[in-house]
Amino acid sequence: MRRLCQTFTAALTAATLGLCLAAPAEARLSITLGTPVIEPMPFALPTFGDEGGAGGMAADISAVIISDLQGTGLFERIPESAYIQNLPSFDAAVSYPDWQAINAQALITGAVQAGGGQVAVKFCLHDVFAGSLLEECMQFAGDAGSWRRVAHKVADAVYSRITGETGYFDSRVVFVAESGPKNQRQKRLAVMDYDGANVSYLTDSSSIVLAPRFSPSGDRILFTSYSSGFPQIYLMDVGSLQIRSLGEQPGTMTFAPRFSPDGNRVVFSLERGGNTDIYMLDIGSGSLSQLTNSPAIETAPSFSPDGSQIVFESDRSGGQQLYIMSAGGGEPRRISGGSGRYGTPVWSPRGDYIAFTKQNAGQFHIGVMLMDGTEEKLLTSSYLDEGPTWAPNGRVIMFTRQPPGEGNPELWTVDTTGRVLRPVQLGGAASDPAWSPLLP
Amino acid sequence: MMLRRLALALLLAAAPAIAPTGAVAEPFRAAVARQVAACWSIDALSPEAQATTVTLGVDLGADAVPQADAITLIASDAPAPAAQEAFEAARRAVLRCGASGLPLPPDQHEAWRHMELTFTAGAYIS
Repeated sequence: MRRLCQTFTAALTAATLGLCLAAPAEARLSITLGTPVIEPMPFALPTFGDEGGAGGMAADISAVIISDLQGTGLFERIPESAYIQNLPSFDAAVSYPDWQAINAQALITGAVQAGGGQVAVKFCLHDVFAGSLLEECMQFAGDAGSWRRVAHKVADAVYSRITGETGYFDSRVVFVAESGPKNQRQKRLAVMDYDGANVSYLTDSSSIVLAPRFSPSGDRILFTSYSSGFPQIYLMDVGSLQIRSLGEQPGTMTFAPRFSPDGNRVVFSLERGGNTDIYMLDIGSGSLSQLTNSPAIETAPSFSPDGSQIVFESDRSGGQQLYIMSAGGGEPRRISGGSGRYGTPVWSPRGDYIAFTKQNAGQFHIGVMLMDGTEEKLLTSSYLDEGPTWAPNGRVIMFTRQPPGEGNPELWTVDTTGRVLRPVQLGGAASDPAWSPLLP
Repeated sequence: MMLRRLALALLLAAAPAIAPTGAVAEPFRAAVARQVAACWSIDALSPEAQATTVTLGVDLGADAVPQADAITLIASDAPAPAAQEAFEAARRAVLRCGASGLPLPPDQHEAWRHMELTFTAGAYIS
């Protein structure tokens, strides 16, 4: 009897629990989805309003924001002609059904005010189908002359809120601007906005310059120059454009410099007596230490973001391959293993991937691999692609593409999926790009 | 013995309501998955958010249209902000492709008025 009672009690408990679970509010139909679509997110951005003094700047700022977002390949703007609702002012109530009807997933509304040499942009980001703001409206302001930066900041904020990653639009790129015939090329350092606008020159064309690199804070640039008659690395202060040589050693050539993540040290290649090894220079003290010691050519060093390791290229195994060693030197381990030659490795600022140039079967590629050499992925393929540099968020790579024949080298970008490949809109020959960090 | 039969009867009475999912035929469930997936785009998300599996609770009216203010994040396998971005992308998919109603049998509203939709793109991104 006791056993029956226990059974009954247990059954009742289970039944009661079952009945509770069966309450209408708890009954749920479960469905699993596993295959998303590949498409850019459609967004609407009515040309920002002029709240005083902005004039054509409101349209210009709107155009830059649209270009930034569309240029990622992740977003696609719905043409203004398709918009149903006309928003007469920044404070006008948004009719979400009107934006849902044109299939806009995000809506960006904004207004521009200018005066006294200043420009201010306020904007709101709406989740159209949720019928609400994605976050509080924001405002950026700056000098009127830097209106493109203000626009980039708006685009960065939108990109960051939707993707969850930091943006990269408010950044600059230092590169080598080229002019003149191929057999008498003139090269000088230049900087531009990441999208090719606002080009300005940092050096004249009196000597050949190569491989500029921004410091982690963006206030200094390392580069290699032939101004002394042979390759030598130099340090430029971006604000004053003052230049000084670094690590000068009599009878040596120095090249391929790159900053440590803290900006206090420089790792570079030094050629002495026909042999090239990798060295580290402490900028403050001037102390020099040798990191590799091999009869091979060791060059193109690049720090990991935490500063603990260095990836570089070497032909110590016979062919040009990628190696990683401790930032203090020591025995390196080879990470590249595929066929072909690998060079110019650059560690992603995210720390996950290493970008590189690969030459194989008559083609050049920009590719990425994990730091153990696995998951190699070739993102581009052409007659000559080389010299990758990472966007500050580690999602886009810029590089040099040289067409065959008499064509000029150009700067191109590709995202880490390899799907979004496009040229930088720059009105001249260019090579050796190096991306800055996000501007402050 | 009578008590045992009573207990069994109680359990059986409760059973159908414990697993109401089975009340909606598989073709309907597959059709819902296809319709919502057609609006589920994760390209714009961070890699972390793309790899996040999220389960949404969705309430539907009798017309099978998801109620925008009744979509909740029930579970995810990643912390914020990846979970939040993955949730927002999934919610947009439900609302966009459910705007005209999901393909569900009208006479079984009780069986599908509350749904759990799990979005898992692991196989897609690997």
